[in-house]
Amino acid sequence: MGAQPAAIALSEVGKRYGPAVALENLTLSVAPGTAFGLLGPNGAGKSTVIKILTGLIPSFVGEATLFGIDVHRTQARLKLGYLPELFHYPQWMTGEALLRYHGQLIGLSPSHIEVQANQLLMRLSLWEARYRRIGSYSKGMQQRLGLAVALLGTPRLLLLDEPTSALDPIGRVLVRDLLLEEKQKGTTIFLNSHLLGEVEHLCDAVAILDHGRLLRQGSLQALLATHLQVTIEVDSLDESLRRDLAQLGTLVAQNGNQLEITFSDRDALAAVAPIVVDHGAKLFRLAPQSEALEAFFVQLLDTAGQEAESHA
Amino acid sequence: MGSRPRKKCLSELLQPTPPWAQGIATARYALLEAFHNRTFLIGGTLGIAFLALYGIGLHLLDSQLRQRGASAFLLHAMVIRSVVPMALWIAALLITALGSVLGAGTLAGDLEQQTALATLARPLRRDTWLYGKLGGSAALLFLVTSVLVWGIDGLTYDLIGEWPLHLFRLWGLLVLQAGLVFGLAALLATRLSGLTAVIATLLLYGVTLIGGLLTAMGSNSRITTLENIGTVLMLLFPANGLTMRATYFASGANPLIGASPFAAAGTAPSAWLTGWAAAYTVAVWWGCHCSFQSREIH
Repeated sequence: MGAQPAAIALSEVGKRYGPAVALENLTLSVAPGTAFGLLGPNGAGKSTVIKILTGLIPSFVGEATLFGIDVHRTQARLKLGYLPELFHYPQWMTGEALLRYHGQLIGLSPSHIEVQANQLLMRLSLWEARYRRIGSYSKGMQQRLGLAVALLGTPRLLLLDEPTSALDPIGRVLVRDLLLEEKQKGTTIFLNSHLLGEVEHLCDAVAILDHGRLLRQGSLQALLATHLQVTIEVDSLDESLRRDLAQLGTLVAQNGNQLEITFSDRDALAAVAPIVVDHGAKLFRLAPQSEALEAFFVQLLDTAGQEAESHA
Repeated sequence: MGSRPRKKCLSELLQPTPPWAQGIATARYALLEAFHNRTFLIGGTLGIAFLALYGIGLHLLDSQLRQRGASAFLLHAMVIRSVVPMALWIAALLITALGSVLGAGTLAGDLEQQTALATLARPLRRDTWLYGKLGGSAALLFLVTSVLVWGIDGLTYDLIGEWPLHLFRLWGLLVLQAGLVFGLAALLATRLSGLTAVIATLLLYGVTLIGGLLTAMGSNSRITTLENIGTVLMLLFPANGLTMRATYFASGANPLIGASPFAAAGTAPSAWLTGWAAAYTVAVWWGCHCSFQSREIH
């Protein structure tokens, strides 16, 4: 049996709008069954990538495939569920009618449509509102309805562009649990989000884009291993202890007896406790920062910006 | 990380839906949309109101002429040669207005409100969606056009006991006009906003009306240059030429039409104009297809 094709494969994909570069030689691959996060500041080209994959942008250079099928072909989208960033749906339709229409487009039988639509409406807490006009839905409800549309037909690949941007905390938990469930089932998830905590929670791998260029790509674990920011708190912090601890990595901040240090090597962490003890101090806290991806992301973009300035 | 064994999901068992089934689903969606956004309601109400007024007007004319002791021949001549052509002009104006709003609105609504994003990301060919949507709206326009034309014919028959001449030809010409206006508005809406597309279509129709007026003036005053300028303007967008030909088929050659305020010519536009209009209609629909296929959806 041959190797399974990548769920998403982009090879030297480029896209320009006049003189503006939206994407430049982007090559990336997403393995089936994984959750992949696409990160980048506004205007980095994330939505362009998603629109190329969904066939909404038909002209670009390079090659793009979904499960080995060229994205220009209709069949490529047979296993795809897509939630757009701007989740606008016909305001005059009811939620149930929208799901029925999409079910007809993907070729579900009427009985399948009914069963699946009912399950999704219940799962996404829209059951009570199923016969209401979408125009009367809140933004959060419309986004959940968009997710229901994306999940119709149990797709093998979910392309989600900011899937929780309009949701309240309860809605976010609901959607996060649902996506984790989909991931458990083996659905490939391609997530474009500004909420880095969400990406960190769900994704196995990420790619970071800036100005249409790929800055970094890899498994989340490997990327964060080179950027481990920890908080060290001791009972008393003298100058020599501060200097010795700072030598282990990069001192980011000091607040009283508390230091924040970024380690590029996980092994260096093991040296913290002995150093503190050698100086006769007590170690109260040694904790990794929960926003590790965010710190990594910001630092990477800062570095990229500085490099761009120096080249200019 | 990496793939894990999984059960086959429904999407793996799905076969591509036949385009005709997707097209029918989309046409149904377009029909419902036209009902919900009140375009059809407004167009239909205007059409029915016009037919009601036309019927009342015809009967008033009949009673006035009878009171004055006019002969049935005079009534017949007035209705067939002046009233019916004028009614067809007004019907053509209604058809043009409705056609431009439906043609532009069918595409522009989904593109401007970004409701097309999720739909076109489905395993659905763009042209299937395009023709489904346009087909649904065009069916409504066809219905309104037919009701107007056959309504005028029927009311006329009810009064004078005689059908206007060449019924099917004039019906066909006005249907072609509706398709032409609708196609041009849809083509423009693939690149412009809905409102701009409607305004541009109506402006072009205005130019062609002026063309008709110049042709009639040139014909009546025997100034060939004026007539030629009018003809060229009418060829830019042959919608008005089709109305002129339709009124000619309704009433036959008659000198009264040349004096009509709606700028009908004393002589009918040639069959070449119908051919040109048909080619024009095919071109705008094909242009709409090509333009929509290549555009980016944002």
